Amino acid sequence: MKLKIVFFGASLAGKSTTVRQLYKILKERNLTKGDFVSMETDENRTLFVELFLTQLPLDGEQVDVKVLTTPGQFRLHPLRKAILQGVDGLVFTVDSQKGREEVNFLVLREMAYVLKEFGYDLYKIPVVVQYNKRDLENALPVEELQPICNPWDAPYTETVATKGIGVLETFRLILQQALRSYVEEKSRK
Amino acid sequence: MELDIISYSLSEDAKAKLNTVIDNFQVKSEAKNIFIFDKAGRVLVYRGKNLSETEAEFVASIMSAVFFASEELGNIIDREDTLNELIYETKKRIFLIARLKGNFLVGVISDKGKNLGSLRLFFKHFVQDLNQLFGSIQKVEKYELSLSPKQLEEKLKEVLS
Repeated sequence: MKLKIVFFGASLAGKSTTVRQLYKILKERNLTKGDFVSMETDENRTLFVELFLTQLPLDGEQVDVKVLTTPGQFRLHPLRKAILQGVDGLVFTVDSQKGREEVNFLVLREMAYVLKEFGYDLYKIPVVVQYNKRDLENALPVEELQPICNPWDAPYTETVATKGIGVLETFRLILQQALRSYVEEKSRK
Repeated sequence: MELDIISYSLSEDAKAKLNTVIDNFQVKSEAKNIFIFDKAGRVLVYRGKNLSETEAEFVASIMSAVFFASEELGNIIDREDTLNELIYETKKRIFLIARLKGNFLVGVISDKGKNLGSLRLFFKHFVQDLNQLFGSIQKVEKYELSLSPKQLEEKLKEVLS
């Protein structure tokens, strides 16, 4: 079984940091396959994609999970769209800082548009909202961010990606969301 | 659209036919690497010697992203435009990617020094043969997990806590 999980969010929200920390944590547990692949600009901003593979033992089966990030900069919309092909689960990385509400919302709106274009049911696709940068003084309360950033009322996590806090929990939750719909579908058949 | 959390399974007959088509192309073109994968970059078939299974997954993911990014490029100029085949060259290699029926893609990597015209012709025939085959292949959803949602949650906590 192979899953494709994509982290999306505003520019500088912490997607790459989250995914790099996740790779580091999973590598320490011997759960990664191969290296971390990154295509970035000279300013260390994601140009196209960052990805790695992890293999998890579940129920006697090896579940391969491909983890990817999208570039956050607005001008790279066409590349984000290309990376989202065939996605099984989404993590919406939110920059919790005051003043970033609008940009978070615009990213969400763009994602909704792309998913609709691909034919996904926006309210059925597995999503986890990751409220990042929770350690910053100007981070808005989650209750204030929820109405803007979580129209699905999806599970959410509070993270400090630079320190790896909450990163693994975010990953576990999105896998749970993605696999649950699969397991439930199976039980219906 | 339903989620495509699936593993692809081919019947023995389909596998044999697919292998024959790939063998024919590989002999004629001398291509070093051949990948058949879905739009998410999940590898269905990889033929080649110099890449590990993991590397093949990376290559397929990037090929998929490059193909669809190129399609977006065309769509910016003309929304009605579609991309079916993408060919590009590096200093040492030629890359060919084409769309197949059923949301699949085929990618080929060949060393330079071969006649590009012949390679393109062989590739065109290869894609036609694959499309004929993919038109009749049954995609089987293999349900591999037998966990309840609760068990799944506990298992994930065990592995990722």
